[in-house]
Amino acid sequence: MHSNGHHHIPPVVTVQEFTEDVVARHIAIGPRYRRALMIFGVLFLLGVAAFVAKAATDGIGVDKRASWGYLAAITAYLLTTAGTAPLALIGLRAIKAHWRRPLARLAELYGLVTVLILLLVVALMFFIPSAMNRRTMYFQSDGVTFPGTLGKIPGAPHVYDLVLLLALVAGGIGLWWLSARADKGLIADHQGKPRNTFWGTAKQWKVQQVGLGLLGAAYFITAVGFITFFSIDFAMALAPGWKDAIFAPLQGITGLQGGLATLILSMYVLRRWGHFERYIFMEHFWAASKILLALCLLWFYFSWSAFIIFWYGRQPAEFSVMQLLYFGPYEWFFYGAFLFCFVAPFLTLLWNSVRKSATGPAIAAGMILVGNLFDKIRLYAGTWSVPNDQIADHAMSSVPLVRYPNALDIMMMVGAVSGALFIVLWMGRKAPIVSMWEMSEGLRLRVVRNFLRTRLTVLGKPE
Amino acid sequence: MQQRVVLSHEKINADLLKNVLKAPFWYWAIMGFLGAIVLVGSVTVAFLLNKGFGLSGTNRPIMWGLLIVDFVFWIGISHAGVMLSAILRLSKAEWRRPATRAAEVLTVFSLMIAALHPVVHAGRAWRIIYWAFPFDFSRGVWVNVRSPLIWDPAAIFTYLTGSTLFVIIALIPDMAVLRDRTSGLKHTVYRALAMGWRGTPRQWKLQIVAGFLLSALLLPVFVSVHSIVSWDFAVMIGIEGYHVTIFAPYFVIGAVLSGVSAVITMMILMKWMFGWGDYIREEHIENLAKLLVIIGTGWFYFFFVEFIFALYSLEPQEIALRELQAFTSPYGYLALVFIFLSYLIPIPMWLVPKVRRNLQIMFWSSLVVNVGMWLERFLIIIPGLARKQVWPFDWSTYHPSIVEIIIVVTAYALVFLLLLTFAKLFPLIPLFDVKEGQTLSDEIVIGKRRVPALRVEE
Repeated sequence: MHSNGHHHIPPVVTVQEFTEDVVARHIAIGPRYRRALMIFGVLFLLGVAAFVAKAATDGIGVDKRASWGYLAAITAYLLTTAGTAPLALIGLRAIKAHWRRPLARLAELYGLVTVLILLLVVALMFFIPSAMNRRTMYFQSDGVTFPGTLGKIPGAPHVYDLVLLLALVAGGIGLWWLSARADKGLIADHQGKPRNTFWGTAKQWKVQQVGLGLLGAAYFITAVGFITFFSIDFAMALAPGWKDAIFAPLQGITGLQGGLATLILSMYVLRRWGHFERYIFMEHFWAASKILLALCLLWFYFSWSAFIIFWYGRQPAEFSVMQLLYFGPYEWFFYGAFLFCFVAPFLTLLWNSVRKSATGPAIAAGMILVGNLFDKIRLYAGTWSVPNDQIADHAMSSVPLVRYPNALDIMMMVGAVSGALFIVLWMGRKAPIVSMWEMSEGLRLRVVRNFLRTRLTVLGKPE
Repeated sequence: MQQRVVLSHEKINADLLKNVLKAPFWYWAIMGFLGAIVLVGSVTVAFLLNKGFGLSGTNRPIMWGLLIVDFVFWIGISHAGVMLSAILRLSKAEWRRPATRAAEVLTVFSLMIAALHPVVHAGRAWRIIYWAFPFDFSRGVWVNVRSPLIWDPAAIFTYLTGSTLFVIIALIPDMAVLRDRTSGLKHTVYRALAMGWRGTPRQWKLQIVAGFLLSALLLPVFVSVHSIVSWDFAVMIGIEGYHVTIFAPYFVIGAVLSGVSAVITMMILMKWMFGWGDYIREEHIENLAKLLVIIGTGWFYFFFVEFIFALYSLEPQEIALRELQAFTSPYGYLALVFIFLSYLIPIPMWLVPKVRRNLQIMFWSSLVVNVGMWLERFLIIIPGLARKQVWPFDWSTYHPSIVEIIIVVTAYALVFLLLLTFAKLFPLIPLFDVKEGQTLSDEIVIGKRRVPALRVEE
């Protein structure tokens, strides 16, 4: 059987073969895996050290926000890559797409990264002022500065944003736990250990099915909600004159794009270095790359919708925002984001031959992850450099200068990404990195039969 | 649960062609009724064009009334075609098969009717050519290419051309079936339309490739049409509630919501009127309803963000506009009706599987969604204009005139008339699509259960 992913009929694997293979791989951890775990762990600790050093040198507080923009950027980056990876799985489960199965557990593992995002957001809270007398999603004013508002909401925006994030974290953990327990039971059987709670009764399977559906829907809604509030409270509300209704949905689309790109790249790594060629083949990359292409186009559409309204209106407040985000100090980050979030992946994924391979979509996914980072730096480093005494103004009086990252910023960013990967790899040891119950289900629903003068795959549709 | 219904090709041909070959009495009665309404509407429009647009009753500050609301509404309905036909074709969703042609045809006719609205609204309709075509017809004065009002005709006619091609390409195999079953003048016409179709493997391959290509090409056009219509409003800085960046995707997703709801209404009507129980089954309506739950929830998110962002600015004028829309009569009552009909009633209902499979409930709930979405467009367009200039002589709220109401009702009648005419001339469910679905359906055995399955082309 070809291993380059170009063969159209997938390899025929029985459930027994698959189970034995995955259990054996899970029980025996390889040296490369251990090495990767150690490297990411060390880099994460270095990132923590960099944070402490920066706090000691630059200080913490609402007035010190300008030098911490890169921490906000990397938090937003993790939120719109790892944090949104489960959304792709949830959507695919909802439409019962069979090709989701190999990437299901990966997506659930990325949902656990929300724990790290929680820690980062808590750190960022120290730089965000109260919502009183400035534009936020909480419409707070003393009634004099801005009339007709909701008065005072204690703890806004910190408390409520955190509550939403806690709900997201709970959802991410719940999704992984609910899905992993069936496989953990199977692994325990093969190791001769007692099972914990999952015995595979009809009721337990039903609870799992319904629970994954409901938790998935809750995670999706919570993720979209938190991205909405985070992007507004931690970016838009800090730039005077920036009133952009499409910004939060655009961040949602960026999140979907980043999440799917994360999964595609992880699938490629799993296939190439994890040697999962028998279970991850061309069909998965082909299907995922079509959605990725659509998301690239959506990214452009939302970005253009925002741009054209500001550009067309020629309002002074909006023009200064455009200077900050597009044509001024962060213009090269904007060009990078545009190139790597849209132009390059679009031109790559346009070709059927590229989509029908494993490498092509992985390259496009890598480009999108780079572009996403440029985009977050442009948005967060840019808005965080606006002086604190100006954020309640009607418009920006002057566009702040560009801030490039220093060594501590780079260490924090590398540390944050490494921390996310450390969580994925570490928790990947608690249950198999490929969802056994989900894959077994798929293998039972797939047969290859002769039809006229060819052989076709026949997929069961019990729903 | 997906039902596997086995139908022979002969039965498919007989069932789906019976109304083309011979129409029942009720068909002509309905056509007569709709024709009468269209006649009244045509006379009204002729009177309007002759006497001047002042007869419509629009005046400062609300220069855009029901005609523009209806224009946006029909552009919205036109999004059903590409959503169901193109997107579901590209994603190979099996349950699209009975819905595709009806959706594509609804797209074409609703686009045509939508395009008529600004022509009538221009007052001097014959002058539209000077405005819409990129040429300096007189005095060297070019059209304002920076205006979305100029982009509108280009987008709408591109979409109309593409959608029409889409319908024609998909019709060719069915034209051949009709060619082979008719005689005389009908045979001559169908033979011309069949364009020499013989059903050879090469012809099938070309037809499928053309369908896929058109699907992919129409997608950006479909997004651009309603985005440009939304920018007719969003680029304006002088009207409260208009200058909002989210209008483009908000309008598009609202269009998909109303378009797909209209297709559900139409499919259930087709099932009842033509007796197509074997072809339009509960599972098709259920899948459409599930799609609408997701689209509806997405729409609601955009609506929520759009409304909230008016308050975000903390500007008194924007807040005053929202108070007018939500809390001041009559707009407040309309807003309440709109939000309940568009989302709060249908979407929670559609979460229940039994409701999704109940055709009576689905018919009425899909209808009320479109009532709500029509009100949504009204509430977007009219209140903002009402606050534009508070002239001392303009003391009353906007009231639609009888002329506007007649034109709006005529638009509905004309669309239904055109759909029924199409149903008499061509099959509303594609024969080859249904037969292909029959060929690809299969069964597998897992344990003691027989599970419906699908042969997948790789």
